[in-house]
Amino acid sequence: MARRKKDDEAHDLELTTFLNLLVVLICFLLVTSVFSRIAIQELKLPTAAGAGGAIDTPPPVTIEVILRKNAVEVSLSKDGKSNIVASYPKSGDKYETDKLSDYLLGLKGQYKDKNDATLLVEPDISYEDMIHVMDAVKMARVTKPGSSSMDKIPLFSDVSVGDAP
Amino acid sequence: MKRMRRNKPKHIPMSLTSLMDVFTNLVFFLLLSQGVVTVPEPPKEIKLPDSFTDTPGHPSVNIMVSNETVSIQGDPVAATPDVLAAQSDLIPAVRDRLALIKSTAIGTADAKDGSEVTILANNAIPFKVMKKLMMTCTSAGYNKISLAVRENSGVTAPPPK
Repeated sequence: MARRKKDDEAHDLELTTFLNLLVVLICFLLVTSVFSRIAIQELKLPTAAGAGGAIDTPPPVTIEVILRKNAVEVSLSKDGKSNIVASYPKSGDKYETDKLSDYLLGLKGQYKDKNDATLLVEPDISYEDMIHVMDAVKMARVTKPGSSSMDKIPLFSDVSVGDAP
Repeated sequence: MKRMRRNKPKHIPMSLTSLMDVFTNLVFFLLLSQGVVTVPEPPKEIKLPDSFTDTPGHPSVNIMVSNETVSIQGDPVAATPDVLAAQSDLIPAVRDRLALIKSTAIGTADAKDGSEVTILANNAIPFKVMKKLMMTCTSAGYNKISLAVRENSGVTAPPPK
């Protein structure tokens, strides 16, 4: 009896098949895995068929971000009048998206319930620049003092796109 | 001396437990990180811009716009230079294709929301082209348009081009 027990202890788990399985699975997953994730920017477009539906009362204020070839401008329309309230010239090759976000953060403080903005783009702006400015309109990234990570503050999440005047 | 040799086990069993742990963890990590692919990976000639958004993609009709071709669901339908040069905002080839997809998928499409389309465009595509494609999408009945971007972790700024 005592001998039997000793034998049982000496037995190993038979892991070879399981290991083979794991190795194959890991190879397969490594080959098929994608390490950069694709996300999406959702656009809020006025529906083409929506003209016959109920028309909301016009919003008290409309925020438009105009993306021009050499600058990005913020235009505020109130009571039918629109005026450009901020303009940031392009510095080098890039738009001043950080300053734009800062300014929009201030606007968000004034109009807390407002969630939509319009991005008006000139015809020759590249898709990349458009996405970067859209990022700046959708959320501000603020670095807290004393921490290295950035906080995301949502700004105007419903962005619609149009032609620049 | 002889007895010591006799007592020594014939083979030293490999200690596989830690290796197994590593493998198992790796398998779980890969399985989770793989997730469900909702937006297909674009081909090499399409370089998506970086963005800080983290909205995951929905499965939808996809339009890929490279510098040469516009393809819908993987099939090339138009040349990008032609779209760029087109006078009208509607691209007939793209529109027909989208209408075809919509008509064949009528049983599965959610009638209330309209259909969704995801545009995967190369970095350098000008807004002109994007606008024409978006107009074409809406006129074909696709009301929800999403732009595909590459997710950035949010810690570093997008690399200057």
